[in-house]
Amino acid sequence: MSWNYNTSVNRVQAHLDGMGEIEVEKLVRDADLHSLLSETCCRDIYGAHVYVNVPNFADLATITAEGEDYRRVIQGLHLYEREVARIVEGEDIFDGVRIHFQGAKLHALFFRPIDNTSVIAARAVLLQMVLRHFVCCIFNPEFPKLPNLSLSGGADIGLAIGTKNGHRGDRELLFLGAPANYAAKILTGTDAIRVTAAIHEALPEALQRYFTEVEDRRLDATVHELGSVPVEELDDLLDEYGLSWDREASLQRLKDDKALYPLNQIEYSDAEVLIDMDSLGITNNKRVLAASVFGDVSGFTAYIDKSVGEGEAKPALRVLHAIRKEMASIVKHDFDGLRVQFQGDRVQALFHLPKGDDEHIAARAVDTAIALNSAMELVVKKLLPEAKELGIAVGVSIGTTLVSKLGTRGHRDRICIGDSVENAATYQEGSAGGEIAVSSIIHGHLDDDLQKLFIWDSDRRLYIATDLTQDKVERARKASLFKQAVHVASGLQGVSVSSHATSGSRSFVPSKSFAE
Amino acid sequence: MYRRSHSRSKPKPWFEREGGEILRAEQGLVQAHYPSLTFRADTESGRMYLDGQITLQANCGVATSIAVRISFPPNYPETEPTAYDAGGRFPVSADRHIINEGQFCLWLPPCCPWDKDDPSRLLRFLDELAVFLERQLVYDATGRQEWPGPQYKHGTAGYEEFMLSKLANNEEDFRSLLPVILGQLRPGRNEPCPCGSKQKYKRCHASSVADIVSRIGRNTLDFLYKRPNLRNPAATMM
Repeated sequence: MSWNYNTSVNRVQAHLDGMGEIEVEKLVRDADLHSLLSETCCRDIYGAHVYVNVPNFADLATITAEGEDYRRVIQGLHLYEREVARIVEGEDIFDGVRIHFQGAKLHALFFRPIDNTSVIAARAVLLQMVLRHFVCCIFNPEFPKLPNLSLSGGADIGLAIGTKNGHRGDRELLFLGAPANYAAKILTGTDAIRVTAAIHEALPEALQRYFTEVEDRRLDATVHELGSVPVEELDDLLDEYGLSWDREASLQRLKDDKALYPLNQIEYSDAEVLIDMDSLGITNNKRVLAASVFGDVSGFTAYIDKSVGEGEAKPALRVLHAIRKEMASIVKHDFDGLRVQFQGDRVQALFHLPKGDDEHIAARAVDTAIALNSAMELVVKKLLPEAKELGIAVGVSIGTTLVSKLGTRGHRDRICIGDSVENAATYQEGSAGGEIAVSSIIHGHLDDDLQKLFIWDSDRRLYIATDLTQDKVERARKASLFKQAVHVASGLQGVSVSSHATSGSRSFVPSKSFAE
Repeated sequence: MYRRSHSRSKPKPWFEREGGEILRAEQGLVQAHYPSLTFRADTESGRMYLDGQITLQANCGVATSIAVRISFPPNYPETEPTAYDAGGRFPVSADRHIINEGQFCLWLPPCCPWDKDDPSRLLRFLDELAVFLERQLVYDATGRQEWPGPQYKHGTAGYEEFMLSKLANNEEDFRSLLPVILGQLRPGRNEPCPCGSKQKYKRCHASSVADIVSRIGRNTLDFLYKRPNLRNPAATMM
């Protein structure tokens, strides 16, 4: 299990050769994005991107004891996601697009009516209001044995390019550009619902008045935070915008789902072999010790926005698809991991084998992180020089993780939930291109040579490696080689220096170095 | 009438001697093992160089190419060639054993493994160079904290380390014998050894001192100990 430069070059080149001509046009009429978009058929879509998260689920999936309590967490998560998906996508409710759930975090898009800024912005904000009401007033009372869940949200509006990964049977919508990125970035870990200045400005006055301006110090930007909205006023607002969310119907669907999926039918188990994610569902979940890896193309949002501005979106998308597919190949083929999801320009991966062996799981996850950086720095940048400004930022963490496939029939999302998943995502989000950030637990499981390549960051309380590629790791492991006889083999391909003899290699104890 | 000329004709450069046979042999060796290096003669200076790249392969398939120049001395193969960082890939630094003009210090001169009579001498030199370059990459990969593998101390201290090793690492002996090594004290062979052992010098340290002097060379010893020690003038021996 390892990454190889030549294999990587061949894979990326083959993908580029077979990619076909990329087409990017402005979306000017309504369309089913799932059918329209593909790797090469891309659209510049004006819309509001909404992220809504229930942070409690990650804690519950990590700390809840085995048995019925844990089944209840799974049931709650499944039912929450099913109903939220119905609210978002119901033509008679919000008529939005559920891009996917990232664990318990929803990413939704509103683009109808086409280019109608104020209606699109209003729908995005009203969805957040409705979901907050749903969680507090419908979901929480229906699940009294779960702690009270809270909801955080973020939204932004503008143009983002929609595309899709090209894997048969495993296709996901991908959105690239500032609104898809900032909507997620302004999310907080608490129960705040925030929107960017752009979406606030686009809102009608009747909705703007519910927001208060606040400074987001992390992003160094002004955002707007939603205050309380009385139930009667929410109903009036929904009426005004022709949205027909019926809280009684929502509660009934929740009750029906609860009857359909009772606790005694919900199963979960550990995994001895690589999890087949397609076999997962509400009655078949996995609870495993796993390492989560998030690899993000740092600087890609700015790059794609700049490229679109200069009419150069096609080469930028070519870069994205080359990187994206290679990231997936590294996870799946080179390190036998699970490629959980693409989230725009980011890949989420999970490593849970060998079962319960945290040392090997951690090593495999870090080897993958190094391979992701190697592929970017040594392969993609060589084949696509336009990617020279980009870099991969990686976060790695380990812990108990709930793995499942949730949602409504036909639109189920692969999900991994747990504190370690959240932590890995946070580590990655705080890292620059070329950085690999790992928790101290992961670091403690690495061999001595590899440990030395990471530096403790006392501010972030993480170990960070910068510009670490596979060849450098190999060389770091050679540090003690030169005290004994080395074996040198040379020829057309170059020279290799190793600790073991190969055919035609020459052996000698290297000279003791000196400098005047 | 035959008149003997007083003007001495310029000796042929080493690569033209023996009908160019020495050069052809070295070319064959380089072609077989380091094909990305090419011999190039500089007609103006009459020097021969070996230029090109040494490509170091990692097991994962990543190749790192380093531009090098190997300069041959006029008396080659009596003395070994010198290797340089032709592309300025590495900074000049004593800690990484690279000195002015990017010259690679592969070894302490008295420990040079060069054997002029070995037909594979140039191949061994290039292999040593390849290992030295690999060590440079290891040094970079490990954060430039510690030179990978054994090394002598820098400058005069490195030579003293060598001399000590030849005197069984006995510091007292070294202090007593240094004036002898430097030629300041010339004990008779049958006189007591300056180390204080009460043995005759010839039966005690005479051969070790002779070996040290011949390996380091009188000129180098003079250079090392007669030049002013700018860091610590009081420590200057003479």
